[in-house]
Amino acid sequence: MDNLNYLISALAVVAVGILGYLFYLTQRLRELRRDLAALDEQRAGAPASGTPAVERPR
Amino acid sequence: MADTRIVRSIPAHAASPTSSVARVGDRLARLFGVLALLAMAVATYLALVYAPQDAAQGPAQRIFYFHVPSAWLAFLAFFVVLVASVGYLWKRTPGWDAVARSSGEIGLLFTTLMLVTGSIWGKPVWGTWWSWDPMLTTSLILWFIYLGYLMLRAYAPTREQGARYAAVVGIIGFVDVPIVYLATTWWRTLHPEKVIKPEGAAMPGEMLFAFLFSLGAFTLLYIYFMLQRVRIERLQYHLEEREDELAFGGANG
Repeated sequence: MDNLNYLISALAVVAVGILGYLFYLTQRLRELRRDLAALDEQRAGAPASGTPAVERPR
Repeated sequence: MADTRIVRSIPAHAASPTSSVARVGDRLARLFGVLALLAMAVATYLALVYAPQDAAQGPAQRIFYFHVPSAWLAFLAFFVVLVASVGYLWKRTPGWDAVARSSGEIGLLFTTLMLVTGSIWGKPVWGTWWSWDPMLTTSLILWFIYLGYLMLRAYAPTREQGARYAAVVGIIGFVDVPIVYLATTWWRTLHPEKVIKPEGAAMPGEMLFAFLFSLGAFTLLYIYFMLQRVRIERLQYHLEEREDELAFGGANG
């Protein structure tokens, strides 16, 4: 019985599902870390008036 | 502004990203990541090369080594949702909610993999992609229950309400898990019966070893995904906390 293509398709679905979710988790972690670092920087340098201390690009 | 009462009430899961608890969590996640990767590679080898080919079904039977562990992982994930939901309704601490939310998401992913791989396996063996058979239908209902579970969280007016409603769905929704598991026992279905019974396994030793190894590898993968997903919840908590501090600081200053 030659049905190898079904096995390959199922494997591809499992691989895409697992690797896709792994990619999503990694990206989300990276984004959150970057946002946290930016906020910490802003908080550390913020004057009492609450003006953002992050230097804006000119 | 997002409702942050829930994350502000008792920050049980919210160790600072730089604390020693967080560092231990990061190391654990890395360890389980490596273990899961190695175990999945070995499981794939065992499933595709080591296990003997089924004489009747041919190569398609090897889908079994990914289909059944996906189902096991989905059931495990939804059991964790059940426990964490009870914990959340009892203690009302955000840590329980973070665990339930994370496990629900992972459970839905593996229910999807179970349904799709089952459908692909069904085509060469049954001659159809789908049948409204009790096992398949109750599995599809399970998928819809936990899709609703995550949508309820996404569309709830406040984070706390979303957590509360989702906890109720997480408890009631679990009722479908034993129904799916016992469907082949209760009803006459197209789906084959369970291969491991109290009286023994209905398969050769090599197949059983490859199958049990695959179950273990998927379980490691679940632990790794959970550790990463709960880390995301923890960082999300800190982000919201700091955004609030800046917003209130700005308003008061």
